[in-house]
Amino acid sequence: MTIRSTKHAFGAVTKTFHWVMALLVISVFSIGWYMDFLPLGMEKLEWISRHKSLGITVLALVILRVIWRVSEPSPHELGKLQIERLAAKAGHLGLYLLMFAMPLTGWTMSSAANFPVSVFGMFTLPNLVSPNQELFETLRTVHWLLSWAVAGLVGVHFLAALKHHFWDRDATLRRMLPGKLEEN
Amino acid sequence: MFQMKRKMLPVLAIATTIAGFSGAALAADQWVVEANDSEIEFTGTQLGAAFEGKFESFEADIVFSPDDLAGSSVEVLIDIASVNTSNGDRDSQIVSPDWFDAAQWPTAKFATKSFSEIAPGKYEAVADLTIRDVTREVTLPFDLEIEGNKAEAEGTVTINRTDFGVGQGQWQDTSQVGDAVTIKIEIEAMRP
Repeated sequence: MTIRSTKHAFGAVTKTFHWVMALLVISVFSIGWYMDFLPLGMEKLEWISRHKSLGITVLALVILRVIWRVSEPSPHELGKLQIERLAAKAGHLGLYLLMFAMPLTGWTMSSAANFPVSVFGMFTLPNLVSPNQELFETLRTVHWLLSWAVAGLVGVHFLAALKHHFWDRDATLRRMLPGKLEEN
Repeated sequence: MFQMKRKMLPVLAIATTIAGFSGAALAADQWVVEANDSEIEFTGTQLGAAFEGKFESFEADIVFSPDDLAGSSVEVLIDIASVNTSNGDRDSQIVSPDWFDAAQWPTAKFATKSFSEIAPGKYEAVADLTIRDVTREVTLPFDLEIEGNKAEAEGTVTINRTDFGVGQGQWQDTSQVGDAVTIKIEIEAMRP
């Protein structure tokens, strides 16, 4: 498997980023909703810890991923219509923005709540803003609204992959799967 | 001299009572805390990350002279409900029965038993600290600077919250809310 992507195929690094982050995003998202419903207690705090640590991991990875992405060619979108290819670009851009926006709003709202973020207990991030109850409540709402955007866009992303695979019968899904580099 | 002092005692007692002080004049000086320039802060840890808070309201009865440590004493009463950690949810948790139970024990008390000088301008106070219904001895090292009639003291002491029953039931677990809490005092006081 080639490390770098080409104009026609995804490389190993990009595939790894994609699947590791897919798993992470789904985990952080699920934990986020789960912990929200737990009553205040040790268990809730434990899940909040994990949510924050994994969320910051997403932020770290998406930074590396963007650096990697702009430094290598990207395969073309395979949609037949231009509108499809534009929609794909917009969708991917949206996913990237959300991978930044979710951890950043989470980190900022933790700062505003004077609940600094520890990453797996290894180190503590600096507070981005001073404690501010009003700002915290606003950011909590934004974080919550964006979580719906994540659910929506990831859902569309997933359905689009299936549509390309089963309807258009192109390589969109296959070329992102691990293993042999799929040329097309 | 002795005679004169004895004669003056009742007068002094009345004068100090009028001024709001308890007891007759002692060799060590009485100090009045400048509330706006004094703070009792603390640093706890939650989810592995440190956070700061403070108790905004407290009363201190300070009698202190560097040259009469035996006659010096400090008693501080801290209003638990005045806690401020810049997070309303957390503040209301702190005063709840699982933590400080401010309804039952509204104040924490710090009462010195002895002072010792460990270096010029550096002292140590051995004191009884009472939180909830638990009293434990703590040693508070502090720096003291006296200039004219103004004194500034600063010191920190680290205690374990579970020693005082702060964190009942499931909260005795210290993995998410750390056991160690560092208390920092910054006191500015005037000698009237």
